[in-house]
Amino acid sequence: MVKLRILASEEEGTLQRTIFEFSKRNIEIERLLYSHEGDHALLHITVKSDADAIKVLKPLRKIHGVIEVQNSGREEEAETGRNRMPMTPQEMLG
Amino acid sequence: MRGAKVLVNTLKEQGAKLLFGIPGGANLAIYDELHESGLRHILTRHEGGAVHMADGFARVTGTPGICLGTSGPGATNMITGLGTAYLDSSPVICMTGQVSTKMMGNDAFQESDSFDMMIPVTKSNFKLRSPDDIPAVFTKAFAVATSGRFGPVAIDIPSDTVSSEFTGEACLPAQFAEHVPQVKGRIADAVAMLNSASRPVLLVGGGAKWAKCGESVVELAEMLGAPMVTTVMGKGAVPEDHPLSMGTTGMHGRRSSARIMEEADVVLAVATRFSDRTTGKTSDFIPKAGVIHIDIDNAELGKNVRNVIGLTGDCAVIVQTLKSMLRNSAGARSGWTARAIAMKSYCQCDFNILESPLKPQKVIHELSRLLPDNAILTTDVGQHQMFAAHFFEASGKRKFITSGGLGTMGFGLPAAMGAKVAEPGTKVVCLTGDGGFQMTFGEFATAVENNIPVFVVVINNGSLGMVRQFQKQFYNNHLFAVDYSKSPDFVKFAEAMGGAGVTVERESEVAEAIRAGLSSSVPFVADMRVDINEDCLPMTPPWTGRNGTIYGRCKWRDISDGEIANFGK
Repeated sequence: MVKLRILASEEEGTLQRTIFEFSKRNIEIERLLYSHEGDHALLHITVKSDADAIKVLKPLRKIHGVIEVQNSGREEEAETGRNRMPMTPQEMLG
Repeated sequence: MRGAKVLVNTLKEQGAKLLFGIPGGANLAIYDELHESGLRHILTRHEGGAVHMADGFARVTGTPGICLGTSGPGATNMITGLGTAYLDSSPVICMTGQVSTKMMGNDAFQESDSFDMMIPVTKSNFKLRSPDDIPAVFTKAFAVATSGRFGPVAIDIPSDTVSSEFTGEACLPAQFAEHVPQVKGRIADAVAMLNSASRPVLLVGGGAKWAKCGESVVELAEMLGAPMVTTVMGKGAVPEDHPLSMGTTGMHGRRSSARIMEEADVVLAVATRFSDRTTGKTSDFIPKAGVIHIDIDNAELGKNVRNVIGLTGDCAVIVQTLKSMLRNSAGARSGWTARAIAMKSYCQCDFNILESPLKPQKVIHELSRLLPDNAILTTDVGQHQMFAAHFFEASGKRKFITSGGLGTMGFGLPAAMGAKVAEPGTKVVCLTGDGGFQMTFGEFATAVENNIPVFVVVINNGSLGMVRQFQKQFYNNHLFAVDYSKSPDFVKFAEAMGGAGVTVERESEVAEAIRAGLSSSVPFVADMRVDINEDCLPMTPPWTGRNGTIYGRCKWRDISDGEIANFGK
């Protein structure tokens, strides 16, 4: 498990957009903690693997209203790796 | 002053001259202010058309295209257009009406949660809560849309925020612009890699058009003696009549472009996101090359192609910086340059096909021959789009506008209209298919009504041609739900709308029809009745890699490795 720390403005839409970046990439959110830090929202989002965290890190930083994204590191070892199957020809055709 | 007046004033302060849209119950206060605002308004037939028009306008001008719809279905109709603009990084400002803040959440008439629905298809979006927010939100929206990587921004406008009085203050635009580094990354490593390259290639993507760095890219290619290959989105960034310009690569690209990429030892990728349609099977994609990837969006670096030297920043600045740091080494690579030119020359197949039934390639050939050097060609999505990407020559200052990311059928006509409004003095041609045309052809009436004389060339094979091709090639020829047994007579349709048109069934009629379309003072349709059995080839299915290319008429089908080895010698 890998935890991401996301500091964002509380402007409407920023938090929704943050969550959508995970679902857009088919990354499951294992745990979500929400709190405040000063005038900002602080999210701790746990995902399964480093690969998931790497995939979403830079897109999160692009969001208007997101101030800082940090990979807080591994919470615990993932039980199993993600065995993503290679795409079928039909999937590749789009 | 009521909010709607402040909104219109803010649009003007941001440089707006026109907008595309449709009024409805929830945005009438805005329309009431537009009435005497001096802003031009183009009343479209569908909100989706309004977004595509704004998108087409933005792609031609490089400045935001603006559109306005009402709440509920008005807003949901705009989502596809926003997704189209988002995937192709086009700065569209989309305003939607909304039920009043007091009614929100009550499932009021024409209420939809358009704010949340638009999140995944916009760069950012906002919801007004008070008239006092208008200057800041709109200023921010324009800044977000046009700074960093461009993209669409939506603003949801509850009716009471524009019908009630504004009591706030103006704001400064500069505070919202996205910070873009001049050049961030391993520039020295990139320079060393390019200086030491034996076989460099420039891969030019759509971002080069937004950055307006095509001329600099050409100069860089000339310095390096490097061939330039474009993605479909990058087509038109560099003139395709330049000797080093190889044309498009990718699933339906030129074999010469693919081959030169395969042989490259260094690829300098300028503002491309390496989409799956460009790379195909990634293990076969530029197998021998080190990659330098320039992009304004840091998130693109390493996303689809890994182990790159990444340079983030304004591509125009980065290309200029590279030019200033690189030595002119074209002479040392004359053999490589000659090889690229020989490959390109071999790829100039004769597609002035005189067969009957009429072939789509013949139509593209005549468009390439007859369009002015500064013409704008928009396309829809499907076979005709890939025929154009492959065969149409975006020479000189021609512009090529297409929905390359989302692949939105119905984009072509309204995008052409937006382009024509942006450049009324330029010939604008929409190349479409009978499927795509029928998705948005209601906007032809908008073109007539607003005196937007676009020329629509319909590659009409009575079918969803690309889907048909896939069913033939990959689904055991199970042709199903793909042919239109009955479509309107497009010429009668055009005439009924107040335009004009001509039906073309023979190759000998094509040139005359194109000349008629280009000289028409009213919107014009050339209905090109083409062979339903002519597939868009060559094609490299993404799972096969280069060994699985389906060649069709392509000359590379029969060439031997020995002959290829001798190119340029």
